[in-house]
Amino acid sequence: MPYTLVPTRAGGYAPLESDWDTYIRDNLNSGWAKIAETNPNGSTAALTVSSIPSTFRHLRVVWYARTREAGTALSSISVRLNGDATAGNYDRQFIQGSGATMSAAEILGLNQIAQIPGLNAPSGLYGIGYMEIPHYSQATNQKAMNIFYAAKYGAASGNIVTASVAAFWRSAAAVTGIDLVSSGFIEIGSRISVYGLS
Amino acid sequence: MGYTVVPDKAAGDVFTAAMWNTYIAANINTGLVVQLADITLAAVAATITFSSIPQLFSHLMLVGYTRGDQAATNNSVLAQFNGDTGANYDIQYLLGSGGVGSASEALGQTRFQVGQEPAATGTAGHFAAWSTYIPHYRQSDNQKAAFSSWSGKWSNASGQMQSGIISGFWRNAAAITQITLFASAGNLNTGSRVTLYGMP
Repeated sequence: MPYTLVPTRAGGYAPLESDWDTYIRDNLNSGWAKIAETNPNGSTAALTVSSIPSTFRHLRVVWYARTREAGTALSSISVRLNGDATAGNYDRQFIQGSGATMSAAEILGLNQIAQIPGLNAPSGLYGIGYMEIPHYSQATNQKAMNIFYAAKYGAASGNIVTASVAAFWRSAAAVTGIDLVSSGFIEIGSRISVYGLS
Repeated sequence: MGYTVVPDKAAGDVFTAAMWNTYIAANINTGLVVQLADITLAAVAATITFSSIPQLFSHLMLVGYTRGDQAATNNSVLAQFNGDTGANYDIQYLLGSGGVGSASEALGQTRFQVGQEPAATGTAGHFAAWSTYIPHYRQSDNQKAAFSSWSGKWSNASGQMQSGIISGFWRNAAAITQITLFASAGNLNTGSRVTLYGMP
């Protein structure tokens, strides 16, 4: 249901049920809504959102995250839709820029989708990104993910990376759960928010 | 005016016009991203068009899930503003496919590209995911710019995926009241869907 402009009301106006239905219910149900948000406590390797309602048209997942993966300043995160941890069910294509270097790569059968700072990165640096999943709630046709991320993992030149990632799940199932999984525990202060787009 | 946090109310509080105007009218009209239109094709169609776009928001966003019917593995998803079919669009894009990254500029085009989608000879069930932002769309003071990113896959074989970002510039300062989407050849296929959002 598309949006309807809400009129202002004069003093003394008594709202009607039709006001509720048209201007409040239908409008609120036609917008973006936050479905879930998780703030890990540093003892889990995954940011998880489950029981995603099927009432929206598209999903947007936004993250602000860092890991405790030892031995690295730049860590990877992978996606699991509906708990599907089989890497062979995902394909990825990205373009990336770091410094003055642009690169592209394709990997079939991999569910790694983004990079975020790891334990060796200076404190206070968190990576950002978002992932859109159009058509997520339908059980027809394979699911595609449109992803952008950026991470700064040091103060030196060449320590910033930004990328656009195309990711594909070889399944037509409706998406009901999303895990973003790291090789190390997700750092305190990380956050993942999931929005439903009507 | 942006969003105003809605306070809790106690039992017995009187609902006033001021509350309606501040917490409902103003918040919904100027504080929330709302869907303006959603089009899903039940049959192949030459275009998906959003017309009479309300001139109420700061920015627009399109979210697309599309496939073409051209006898090819893939084709481009294109857009025109306000029915302008003239050579008034300039684009710059970055693209990755396999291990190859490329950049390209095209000046004086007759349309703006928002993505690349699988087409008829691509594997069945594959659709492209893309989104486009159009800031400042309703102002008539300066030329319009748009940014789009897409994910496209034509088959499970190597070299059959694309990730791309594209910047587009319309040599026109007019407010955008219409957006027309179409494939570079053939039609948009059944099941293609595009949703338009207004961003306050």
